[in-house]
Amino acid sequence: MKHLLSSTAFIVLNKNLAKQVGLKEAVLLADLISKEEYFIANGMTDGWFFNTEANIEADTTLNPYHQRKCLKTLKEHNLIEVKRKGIPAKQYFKINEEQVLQILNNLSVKNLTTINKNKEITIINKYFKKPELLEVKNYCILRKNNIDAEAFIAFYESKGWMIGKNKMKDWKQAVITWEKRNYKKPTMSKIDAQLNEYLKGKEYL
Amino acid sequence: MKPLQQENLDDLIPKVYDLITETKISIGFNTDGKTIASLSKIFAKDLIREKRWGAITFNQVEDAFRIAIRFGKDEPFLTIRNFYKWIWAHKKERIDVATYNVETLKQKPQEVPYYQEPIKLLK
Repeated sequence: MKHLLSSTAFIVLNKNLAKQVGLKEAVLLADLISKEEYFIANGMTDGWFFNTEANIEADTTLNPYHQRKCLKTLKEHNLIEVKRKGIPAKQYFKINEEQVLQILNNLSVKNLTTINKNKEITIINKYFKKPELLEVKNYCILRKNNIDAEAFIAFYESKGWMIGKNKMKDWKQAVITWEKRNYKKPTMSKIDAQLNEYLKGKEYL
Repeated sequence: MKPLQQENLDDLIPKVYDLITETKISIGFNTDGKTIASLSKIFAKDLIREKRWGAITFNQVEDAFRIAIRFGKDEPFLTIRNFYKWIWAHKKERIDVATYNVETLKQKPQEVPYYQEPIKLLK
């Protein structure tokens, strides 16, 4: 739902959010969300992305002073996290999606179904977090599917966690796909299958 | 060795089952065991009941199958009709010729392939 606030050519502003955090802050947040969308599309997985003051000014007309003020407010509301890193240092942002959604849900529950011609809008967590080996192992044990967790991790690590041309969205579903694929594969050789059939047939004699 | 008419059905069915399974593997089919078992039962009964082949024995039937798979003109399929064709062809082209060579042309039985001493049917 957060993506409704973002757009490439326009700034989509939520009135209730603006009431809650301030107009300029809402504008900045919308711009950052728009930037985040761009980074997600380009393979960002940990939620951190950078933006420059000049860029923000070009997009929102907020000068650096106002930007700093707005960022302070947004941080106070726990809507974003900011850090500086790299040489030369760049400002990195992380949108606190849960907090944004919480504010949006609290403020505009009635509006949830009025957007986009009354269609229900599903909240999807866009971030994909790479699973740890232990997580995959535990999940495989839970499902009793005998999938080698290390092989699974190594396979997708080598492919940059991509499935074809798309970024993986849910590793648990990928494990299930592996499970089904393994199930379909015949493990018996042809002659073993023939022998089995021979023995089965003998029972009918 | 005894003629097919004197075979016991219960003894013959497993032998036929083995023969058809061997044939199936030889021609690379994936027919399931249940179908082969049914075919074996039907064909074993046929072998005992059928009189047009004379006093042939089971090893001659095995020869017929072996030759048909390897040198038969048509594609081998696991059907009773085909089994009949194979045995009939074997009888006509080899057993009868061998018998003629030995009994009419007086050739030595040891030198005539597929010749088998006639076995008298029990009365």
